[in-house]
Parts: sequence; C-alpha cells; structure tokens
Amino acid sequence: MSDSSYVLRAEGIGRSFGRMDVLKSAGLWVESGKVTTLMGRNGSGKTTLLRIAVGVLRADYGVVSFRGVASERQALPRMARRGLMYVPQAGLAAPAFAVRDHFEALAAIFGSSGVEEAVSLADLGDLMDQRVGDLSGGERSRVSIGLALARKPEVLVMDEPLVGLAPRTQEQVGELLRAVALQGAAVVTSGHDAPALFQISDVIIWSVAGTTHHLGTPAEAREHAQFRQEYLGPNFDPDEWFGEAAT
Amino acid sequence: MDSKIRYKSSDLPGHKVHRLLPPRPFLDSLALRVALVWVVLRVASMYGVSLSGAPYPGSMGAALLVLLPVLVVIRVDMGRRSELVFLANLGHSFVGIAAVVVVECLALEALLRVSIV
Repeated sequence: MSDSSYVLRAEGIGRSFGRMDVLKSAGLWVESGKVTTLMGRNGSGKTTLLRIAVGVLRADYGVVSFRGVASERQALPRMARRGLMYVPQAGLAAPAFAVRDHFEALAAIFGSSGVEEAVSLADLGDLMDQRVGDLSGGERSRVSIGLALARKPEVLVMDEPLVGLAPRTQEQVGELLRAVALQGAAVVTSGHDAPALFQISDVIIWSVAGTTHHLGTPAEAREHAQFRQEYLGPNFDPDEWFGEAAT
Repeated sequence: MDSKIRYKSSDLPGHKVHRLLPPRPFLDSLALRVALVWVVLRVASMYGVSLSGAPYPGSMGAALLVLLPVLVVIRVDMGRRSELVFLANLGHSFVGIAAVVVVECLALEALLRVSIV
C-alpha cells in the first residue's frame, strides 16, 4: 500500500513523561473505510499515541500526517475543521449540557443534514433532552458515535470505546463504529479486550514497549507468533473466543 | 436497533454561528462563569487595594492582572467539564474562548469604573 492511501499517519513518534519513555518509535497508519484498532496492555502508550495523532498532545519527536499535510505540531481544532473527530475515553459530550445541545452546536457549524439519521441510528431519540452527566457509559458512547455519524468525519478517533461496557452494549457500539466506517470514514479505536475488538476491526496495530507493530487483519494478527505469545497468551484458543467464525 | 425519534433536523437553528465564538448554549455558560470568576477575583483584588490605601478601584494594570487568573480558572474548568475537547472537535481553539474571556472582563471592568466614578 502506498503512503498516500493513509488518511492519517503518525511515524517515528516519541514521547517521555519525566524520565519515563512512554513512546520510543511508535506509528499509526489509518485507511478510509476501515476500522483500525490499536491494541495493547494498559500503560503501553495507546492513549498517548492517539492524543499525539489528533493534536491534543505534542510529541517529543516524530511526524503526524493528516490528509496529506505533515506536521510536527498538529492541533485538534485545525484538524477538526478538516474532517477529524476525536473522542477521548471519557466521551465527547460535556456532562453539564443536554444531548440536544451538542447536536444543535454541531449542526450550527457543520450543517444539519444527517443529524436526524444519526440520532435514529444511534437510538438517541429518548435521550435528546437528558443531561449527558445523567447518562450511563453505554449511552454516552452512543451519544459520541451519534455525533460522529452526524458530523460524517473523514477520520474518527475513539479512545477505548468498549471499556466498561456490557457485552450487548459493546456489540451495539461496535455496530455503530462499523456504520461510521461504512460511511467511508477511517475509524481508529484502541483497547485491550481482544475478542470484542477483533470483531469490529479490519486492521490491528499492536502497541507494545513504546513502539507499534502493524499486524494486518484480525486473522493475520491471530497468526502472529509474537503477538500470540506475548499478548493473547499461550492458552489462546480462537474457537473458544470466536466460535466457528474464527476458523 | 429501535429508532424512537423525537428529534427533527427542522428543530435546529437555521442561522450560522460565528466561527470565532463557541456556539450557544456553550457561549452562554462560558459568559456566566467568566462573570462569576471575575467578580470573585475582582472583589478580592479590590480588598487588597483597599488594604494598601490606594483609591478604588485600583490601577488599570491591577485590573488587567485579574485577567490571567480568570483565564487559568476558565481553562481548567472547561477542561474538567469536557467542554474544551467538544469545542475543539467543532474547530474552536482556546484562542477564541480566551478572546471571549478578555472582552467580557474588559467590559465588566469598564462597567465597574463607570459605576464607581
């Protein structure tokens, strides 16, 4: 695949906090219409890499390229105007405001076409007048993805979207992320829950020891010896996790 | 997935908001908090001015010094409430928000001086 096919690309990223080198030479390669998942243990630097990729955090070194424009100093507001959307783990919506306020703010800037469909797809009709702070974790995730569906971003970066959710809610959120990718957007997620993330991902990137490995499709990732040994574990059984679909 | 829509796109405001300013009601909430923080800090600074024996409401320089802590408090509060990241996703940087804070503080300062003098 040529470099130009990646709508969002981060390469050679390094970042330290004090004496701790969180990222040494990490990268991220994101394609349109696909769900790319950054998978790794807690503390492996997934969130740091995503925050750098979306311009929320400055890298010590390395380059981020978004829609063909490379920079060492990206900024989220500028990237957002060019079609990127970033959802941190805590969610995108502000707890003090109603769900409706967020959709109205979004529509006032980017237009209201697609809002109604997004609200319907994310099943938010009954939640529109509730304060975001009163919603459950799963409902907040649906609000975030609903906003993304309404925004129709070129790239949606969602940090740990499935963490803390019940299996059925994980499934719903996964379906919505797939819907965003079906719109043609590049979707980036992160997490450590391999079974759930394998189900929704097209591409797996393994985050380990301050660096990243592009493993390919979930099927290819499962066959990667080092990933299997060090991350999935020696007792990993795809049949147990994925049933017949995995084989 | 069930779809129970009460929300219609026709409910949305038809006007275009100014790109530099955060959209309402985020702007309203910001303006209210700036006023509250400014009043608290300005009262405290005027108390300090009165202890030093200087006339009310103090020099313009002292008034401008209140701006910095107001900006810091607003920045921290908006970050804590996840408003910064939402507004950043709408393309609004903190520069625009800071401009609102500065203009409102200057307006409040002018109001204060007019009412005292």
